[in-house]
Amino acid sequence: MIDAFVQVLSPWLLVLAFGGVSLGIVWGALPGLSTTMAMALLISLSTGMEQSSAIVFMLSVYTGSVFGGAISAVLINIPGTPDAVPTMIEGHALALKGEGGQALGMAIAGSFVGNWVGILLLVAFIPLVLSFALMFRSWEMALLAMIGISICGSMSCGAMPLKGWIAGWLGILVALVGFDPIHAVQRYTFGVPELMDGVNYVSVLIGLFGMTEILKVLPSGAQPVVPQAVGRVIPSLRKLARHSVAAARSGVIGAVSGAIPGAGANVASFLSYDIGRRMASPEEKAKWGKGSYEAIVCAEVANNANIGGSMLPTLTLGIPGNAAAASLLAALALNNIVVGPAIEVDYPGLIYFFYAALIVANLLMYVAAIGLIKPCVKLFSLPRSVLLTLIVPIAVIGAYSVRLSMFDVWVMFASGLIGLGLRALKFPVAPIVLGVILAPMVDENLRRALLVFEGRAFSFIAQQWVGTVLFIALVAIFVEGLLRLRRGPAGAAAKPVEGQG
Amino acid sequence: MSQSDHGEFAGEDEGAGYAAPSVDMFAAVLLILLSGWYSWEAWGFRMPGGWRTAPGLVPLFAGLSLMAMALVLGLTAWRRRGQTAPAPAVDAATQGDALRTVMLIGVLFVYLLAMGSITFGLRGYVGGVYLVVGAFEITTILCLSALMRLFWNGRLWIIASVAIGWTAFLSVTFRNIFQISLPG
Repeated sequence: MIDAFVQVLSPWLLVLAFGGVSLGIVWGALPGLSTTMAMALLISLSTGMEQSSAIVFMLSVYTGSVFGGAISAVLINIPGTPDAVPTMIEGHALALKGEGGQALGMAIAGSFVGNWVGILLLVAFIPLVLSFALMFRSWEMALLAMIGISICGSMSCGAMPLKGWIAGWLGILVALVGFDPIHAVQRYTFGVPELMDGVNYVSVLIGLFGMTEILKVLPSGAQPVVPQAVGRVIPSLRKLARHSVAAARSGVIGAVSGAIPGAGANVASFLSYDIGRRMASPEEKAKWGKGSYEAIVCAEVANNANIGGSMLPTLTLGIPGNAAAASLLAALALNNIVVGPAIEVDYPGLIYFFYAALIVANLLMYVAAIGLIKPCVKLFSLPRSVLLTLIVPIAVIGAYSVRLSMFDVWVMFASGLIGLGLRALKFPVAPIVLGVILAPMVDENLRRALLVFEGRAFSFIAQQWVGTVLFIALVAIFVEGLLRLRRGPAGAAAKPVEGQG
Repeated sequence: MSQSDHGEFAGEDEGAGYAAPSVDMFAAVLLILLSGWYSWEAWGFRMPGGWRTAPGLVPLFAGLSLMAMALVLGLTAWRRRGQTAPAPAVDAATQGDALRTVMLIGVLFVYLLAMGSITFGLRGYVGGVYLVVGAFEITTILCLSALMRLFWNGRLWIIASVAIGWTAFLSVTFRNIFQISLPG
C-alpha cells in the first residue's frame, strides 16, 4: 500500500492527476459534455501513456468530471452531467437567493466526502468480492455477464425495462461479429477483412456517447445565460457536519448503486435525493425543492461515492459498474491490463495502486474545484456550438488511435448515427456498451459450460449453487421488469426532462 | 436519464422509455426483421465440434430472444394504440431542426471520406520540432471551419484562427507528445 502511494505521489503522476482532475472538472461543468463522453474520448490519450500514468489520468478525469456537473447546475441551471439534476434543482434556487457560492461550496464538500465513502467501501469489500469471485467458473461467468447486461437494461430505462434489454441485446449482436473464439469460424464478416477481428468497442463507445451528443446538441444552437457573479465560495465542511447523517447514508447509497452494473451516478444521486427527502426533518423537508443544502449533500455525496462503488465489479469481476467504468476498462485493456477475479494474482499491487490513485485524485479534486469555479464561469460564455465542433476531431482521433484504422472511425460515425436513431425511438444507449463488452464473455463461457455439463444429469448442474443463485437472480430481473412493463406507462414515471447533460 | 418534474428518478438514460405507439411499433418491426436475419445467418454457420460449441449457438440464442422482446414491444405498442403519446422526454433546447442535423451529418460524412482518401502530406522540422501536415490536419481545418460557419456564425478570421489553432494543438499533442499516429 505504501509503495503504491509513493508511486502515485511521484511528481509526474501528481501533475498528471492534477491535470486530469482539472480537465474533468472543466469538462463536467460544460453543458452537454458528460463524464462518459470525457472518459470515452480520452481513452485515445491514455494509449500513449504507460500503465500507471493511464490509470491515474483516467481515474482523475472520472473524479473531476462527476463533480464538475454541479458547477453549471448551480450557476446556469443546466446540469453539466445528468447526475447533477438534483443539485441543479436545489443549487440554482440558492443561487437565485445570492447563495450560489455557498451552494457550490457545499457541493465540493459533499463530493469530497462522497469520494471518501466510496473509496472506504471499495477497500472494505474488494477482498470479500474477490474471494467469492474465485468460485466463478464458465457457467457462473456466463450468467454474471448476462446479469450485467440485463440489470443495466433495467436500470437504464426504468419506465420500460424492455427497451433497456433490447439495447443490451443489440450490443450482443454487434459483439459477436468476427472470428468465433473457439473454432475460428467467421461470423457476420461478409468477407470484409476489417470485421474479422470484430467491432472495436472503443469506437462504439465514442460513437454512442460522443458523436450522438454532437449530432443531437450541435444543430440546436442553444446557449445558456451566464451569471455575472458567483459569490463567495468556501467549501463548508462545518455546514456539512450538520448534515453528516444524510452524508453517510447517501455515501452508502451511492457506493452500493455504483456496484450494480448499469446503475451509475444518475441512479445514485436521484435515489439518494429521493430517500433524503423522505427521511429529512419537517423543517428541512420544507426547504426541499426551494434550495436545501441537505439535498445538495445527498445528491453530491451519492454521485461521487458511486465512483468507488463502480470500481468494485469492474476490478473484481471485469464487469463495468457503469458506462464511465466501461471506458476505464477499455483504457486498461489497451494498456494490457485485463481485470477480473484473478487481478491480485495477475497484477500484484494493482488494487492498492487504484486505492492510492483514487485518494490522491480526491484530494486534488478538492483543491482544483475551489480554483476552477470562476474560470468555469468564463468558459460558460463560450458558444456551445464551438465547443461541440472542437470535440469532433477528438472523437475521430479516439476511434482511430486504438487500431490505427479508418474503418474504426466509420464504425464510430455509424454508432453515432445509430445512437441518434435509438434516442429518437426512446431507447437507452448505455446497455449497448455493456452488451458489446460482455457478450464475448457470454459466448465463450456458455459454450465451455455446455461442454462441462455434457453427459451429466440435471442434478449436477443444480449442485453448482453459485450458478443456481445467479440463474435465479437473472430470472428475477426479467420477471420484475416484465411486471413493471405490465403496469404500463400510467404506472411509470415517464415525464418531461428538466435539463440535459 | 429521465426524471419527473419533481426530480423523481425514472431511469439512468436520458429520455428513454415509452414512445408513441406508432414509434414503438415501427421499432418492433425493424427489430423483428433484424433479429430474423441475424438468426437465419447464425443457423447457417458451420458446426465443427457439435452443437454445444457451435459458433452459431449464442448468436442464434441472441437473435431469437431479441425477436421475442421485439414481439413484446410490438404487442405493448398495439395495446396502447389510440392513446395520446407521452410528452417529449428531451427538452426543446437540444432539439435541432432536421435540416441542420442532415447538414451536420453531411459535413461529417465528407470530412471522414476526404480524410481516408487524401494521400497528400508534408513533413519536416520547423524550429527544431518535427511537424506533419497530412490528411488529418487539412481536412480537420476545413471541417471545423465549415461547422463553425454553419452553426456559430462567427467572423471568418476568428473561425479560421480557431480551426487552425485547435488542429495544430491536437496534431502536436498527439503526434509529438503522445506519439500517437493520426489519420493521413
